[in-house]
Amino acid sequence: MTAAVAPPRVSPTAHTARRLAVALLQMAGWFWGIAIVAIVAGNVIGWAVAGATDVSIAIYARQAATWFPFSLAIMLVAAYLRVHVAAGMTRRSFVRAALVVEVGAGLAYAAVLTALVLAERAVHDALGWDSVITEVQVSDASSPVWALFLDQAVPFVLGNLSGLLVGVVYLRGGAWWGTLTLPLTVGPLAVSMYLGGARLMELPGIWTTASDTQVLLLGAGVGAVFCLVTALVFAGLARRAPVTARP
Amino acid sequence: MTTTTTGWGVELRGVTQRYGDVVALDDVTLTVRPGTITGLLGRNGSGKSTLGSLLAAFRRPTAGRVLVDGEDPWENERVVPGICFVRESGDVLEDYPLKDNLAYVSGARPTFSHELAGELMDLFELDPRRKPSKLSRGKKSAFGIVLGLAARAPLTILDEVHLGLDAPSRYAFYETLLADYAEHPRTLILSSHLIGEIEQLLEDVVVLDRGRVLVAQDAETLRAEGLAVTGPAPAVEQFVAGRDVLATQRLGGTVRTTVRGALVEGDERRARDAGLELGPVPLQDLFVHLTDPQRTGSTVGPADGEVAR
Repeated sequence: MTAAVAPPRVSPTAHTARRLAVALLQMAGWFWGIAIVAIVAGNVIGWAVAGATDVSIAIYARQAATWFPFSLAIMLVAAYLRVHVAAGMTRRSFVRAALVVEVGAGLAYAAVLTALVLAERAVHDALGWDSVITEVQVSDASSPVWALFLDQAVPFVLGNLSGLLVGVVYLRGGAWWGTLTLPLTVGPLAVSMYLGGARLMELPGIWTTASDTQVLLLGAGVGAVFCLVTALVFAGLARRAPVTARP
Repeated sequence: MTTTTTGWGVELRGVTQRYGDVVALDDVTLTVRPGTITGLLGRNGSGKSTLGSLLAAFRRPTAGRVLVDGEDPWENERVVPGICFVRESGDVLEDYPLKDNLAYVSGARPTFSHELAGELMDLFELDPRRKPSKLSRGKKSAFGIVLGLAARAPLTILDEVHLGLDAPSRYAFYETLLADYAEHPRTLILSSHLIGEIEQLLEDVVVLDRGRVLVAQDAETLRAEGLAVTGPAPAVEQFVAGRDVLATQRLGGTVRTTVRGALVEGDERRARDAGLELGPVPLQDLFVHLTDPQRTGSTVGPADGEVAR
């Protein structure tokens, strides 16, 4: 006999996206709180030792802001997919929610880091200090804000999507497959992050002759393709994932 | 807004589930009537949890078809909100308070009752601020029961949900389940090793043995089919000759034999004349005998898994 069940008031995708966003926001609060303390401390130590801090300390948060959310994305798949399906929702809605939230988180992290770099630069300018960017990336202290943001946003978003992919591969394939496929699941992120390094080291390629803007846009294009492929593979694997019992 | 007024039926057609070389379910064909409490019984490793996982779309079968309310539940956005599978391993956010877990589940379950959830939280003395990872085994089970019952899902599958619960809590669970089932009928599948405790709740019984359906029958008929014959050995042997003997226990010259099959006309008189006692067999004893690996020729019950009534 058919018994009708009313649809939930909020779509499962929106419901899960909100839950995931809250979880990531809590962790982001801790992360950026610690990062700001470290940035201030780095600047103070530089001033105390050398009389001035002529490099951007804030930009060093780039690595942490890539890999910390990456690890959170792995845990997000491990912790939430099982609970999501057990709560009566489809894998499809989990995939949608996870992708929306992780892309949003990547962009938000990029915006925060850009804002911190700019804020730090304003302080340095006021103190008569320089703000050289020594991190391996394309944009530098003279680049426009959009370039600085794009330079962070591409690896941050790709890092989050890679985390989802790594998480689902471990979930489905276990430790061996999860580890053996790391070059495939994390490789694109490494390529995206160190595209600027190829230019600095003058490795042969289009980046040796192209302008900063061209290299940045090339990196964004390649990164976007990586993001799309990573998201599609994640979606394909997650939508067929069995929900096993918690060990 | 539509609410659930009855339960969903379940059909499995030739379902096989393999994990590598292990066959968890082997060509299972089974029907579960909508709006009933069905006991899913079986020894460890008989395939009960796998069956629940398939019904809840936790996994896809290796072969065969699973239908819940007439549709394949896999990634089915109409059906999955109406299936609630609670297993003893627990599928909750371990590091978030119980109130967060309740909020997450209730937002996804259209039929979720906050009122019942609150009553059950009080009944089992669960602190909404505690995290599942900090709860004892019994309290974790109690929270699984809260989620399973408060969901009021048209198909609710409770798999060993009372592990670690003390006796008063278990009886409180049975009482609440029955009371809420009476007010909000739905299809309940109960899997438990505590058969003696749940047998009075059951309307239908499915016994799985090594991945196959051994029995699929309504509980009353199944109970009536079990018969304990006690008396002097020669008289008992003569009485049970030609019947489906499940087990025999001897104490000196007295024998107690459990047989399957209803009494036929004249049986009671013949037993009385031979000085034999006839008695019912508790479902648990019947189950133990039916699934005894020493027993040979254990093909019993309707072969196609239809619940016989």
